[in-house]
Amino acid sequence: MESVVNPKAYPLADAQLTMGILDIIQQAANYKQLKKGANEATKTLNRGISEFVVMAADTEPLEILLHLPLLAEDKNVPYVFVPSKQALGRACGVTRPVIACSVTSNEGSQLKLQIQGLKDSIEKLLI
Amino acid sequence: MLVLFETPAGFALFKVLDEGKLDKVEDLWKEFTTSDSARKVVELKAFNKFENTSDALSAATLIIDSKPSKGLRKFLQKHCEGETLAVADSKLGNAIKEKLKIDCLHNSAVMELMRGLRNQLTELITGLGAQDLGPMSLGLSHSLSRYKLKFSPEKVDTMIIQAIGLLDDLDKELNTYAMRVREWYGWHFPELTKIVTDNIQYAKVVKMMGNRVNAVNLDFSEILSDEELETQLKEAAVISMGTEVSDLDLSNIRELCDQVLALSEYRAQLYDYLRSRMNTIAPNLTALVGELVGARLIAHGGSLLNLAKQPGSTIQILGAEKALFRALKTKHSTPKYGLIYHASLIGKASQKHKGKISRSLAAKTALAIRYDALGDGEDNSIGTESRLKLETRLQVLEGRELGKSAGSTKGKPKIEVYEKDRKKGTGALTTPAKTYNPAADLVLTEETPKKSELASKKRKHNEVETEPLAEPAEEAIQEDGDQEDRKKKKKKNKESKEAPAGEGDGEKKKKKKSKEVEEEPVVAAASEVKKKKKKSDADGEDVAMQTEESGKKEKKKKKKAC
Repeated sequence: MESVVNPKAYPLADAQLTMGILDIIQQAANYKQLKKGANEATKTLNRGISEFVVMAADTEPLEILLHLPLLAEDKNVPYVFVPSKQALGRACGVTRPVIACSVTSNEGSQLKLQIQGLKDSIEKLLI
Repeated sequence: MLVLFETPAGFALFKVLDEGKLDKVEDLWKEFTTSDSARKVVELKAFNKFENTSDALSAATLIIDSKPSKGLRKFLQKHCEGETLAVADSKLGNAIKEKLKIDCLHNSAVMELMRGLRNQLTELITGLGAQDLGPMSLGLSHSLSRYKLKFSPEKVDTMIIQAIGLLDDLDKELNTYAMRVREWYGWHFPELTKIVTDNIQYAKVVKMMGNRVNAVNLDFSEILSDEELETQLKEAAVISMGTEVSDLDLSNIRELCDQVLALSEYRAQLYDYLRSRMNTIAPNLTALVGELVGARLIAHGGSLLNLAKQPGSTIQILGAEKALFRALKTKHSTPKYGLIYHASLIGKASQKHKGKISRSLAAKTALAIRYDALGDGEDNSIGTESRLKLETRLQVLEGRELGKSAGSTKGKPKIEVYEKDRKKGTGALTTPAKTYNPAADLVLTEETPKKSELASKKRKHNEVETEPLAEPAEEAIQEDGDQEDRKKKKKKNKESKEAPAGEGDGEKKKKKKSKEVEEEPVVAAASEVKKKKKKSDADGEDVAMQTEESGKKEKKKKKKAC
């Protein structure tokens, strides 16, 4: 963990919310409702099938994923930064670090209620 | 609770008199249908008026960026002690909370309240009429738009888009003009086209020479560095088959040459400008794919920021949309590259690896573009490092090709070994053929009884020959044997023809044999054995057949014994 977090990584989730986010991401990976990587996350936002976007705050350089907040604002999709890309990669079920991922929509999914609750929690960070 | 409301005239601060109304968000709009009911819910507490339009513009631009201006901060500090503030922008609320330690609130009730306030704005704020609000609002919006057009940082790449468009147009125009010069002057001096192949040199030569008869006296060394070309030119001028031209024609051709030279100079100047702008605005992209390809990508994407929002796969096929949609419609293979085909890295790669290098280059290009568009620094370290990685990968791919060819040579003996195994297999196939020999042996065993029969016949002949020489006792035994054999044969024949007749004959023969027994006691034992056989034969045909077979065996045994 970096002692100094990039100020551009906003909104940054605290420890408790980070655990909730990573847990939902792991379940989404199991349910095949997860897109891993900045390019795939960009595509889900362009297609309008994204529920929320999670990005890693310790990305170096951080600018390679700062286009995602712009797209998320255009599409009215919540986005949030988590402290560690290593932890994000582990939650996605990938051996490599993951700097960005996107949870996709599925009407009949069992995760819908949890995703909705998490979206509300993420949006509260912006107030 | 206080409500911060932004107006073109200034910032308004309302006090919520009845906060219970906010709980019923769906019915809140009813309270703002009339000014009297609205006054019961909220009242104006303070108003911070803008002094002039520039003050309004600066405050509005800061609000757009979600930052509180200095005047707003003072205004809030003065009136918001210990109160909760409702704001229309959550980011602005966060900023106010950080700087002024004022609790800020932003939710659906606040948004509904804002709508009500906007509906009754002129009634709630005294001294601010509808007639005054309209032109104020219009003036502010015009100022704001003008400000955006002038100082928007996203607009800097429009210079690159226009420059690359002009550069491509200049290339086409320059080519057209140069071809026109060649064709026009070709009427007068057609051989010159093949002697001087460069367009710029051709224009300079034509401008200096004018009429071809002047070529002999002129020195073209400044234009043509090759002396042989100059010699060829002067020789061709003497024997040229072109037509004569007047001075008026030549002056027009010279003016066209001036145009060509001027355009080429401007193109070089524009290219230098484009290179400097690209290195300033997108240094990493320039380091990775070059100025021209980078500029064309930005132009095709619309702007650098738009290009930054594209994934790597889109950047790979930018410029090949027609081929892409044709492939999607006909379900053929999609294109591998678009504008980035002209990057030097893809030019270096062999045909086999162009697709892989294209995909890798597009991915790294996407990262470089995002850093250029969204980052503040102007270093190109990401571009140079990515380029080194890609070049290393290209070398690895090319090297692995050699490794594969070496492997194929190693594979040949393996193939031979495999063929040997097949040969061994064919060898194994011959083994069952060897096992077939016992069958042949069976065939040979069937042939031996015939030989034995032939031998028996020979033996009979031998017996016949030896009869006169044999002793009297032996003669008697032999004669009896022969007779017995003949009788047996007859019996067999009869039995085979008719069963009952055979039986009758058997009985008669039995009688005869009994007489013989009486006559010759020496053969009695043999005759008794024979009788037993006959009796068994008489029992049944099947049994007789079996006994016949057994008899045959016994005969064989006897012959062998003999």
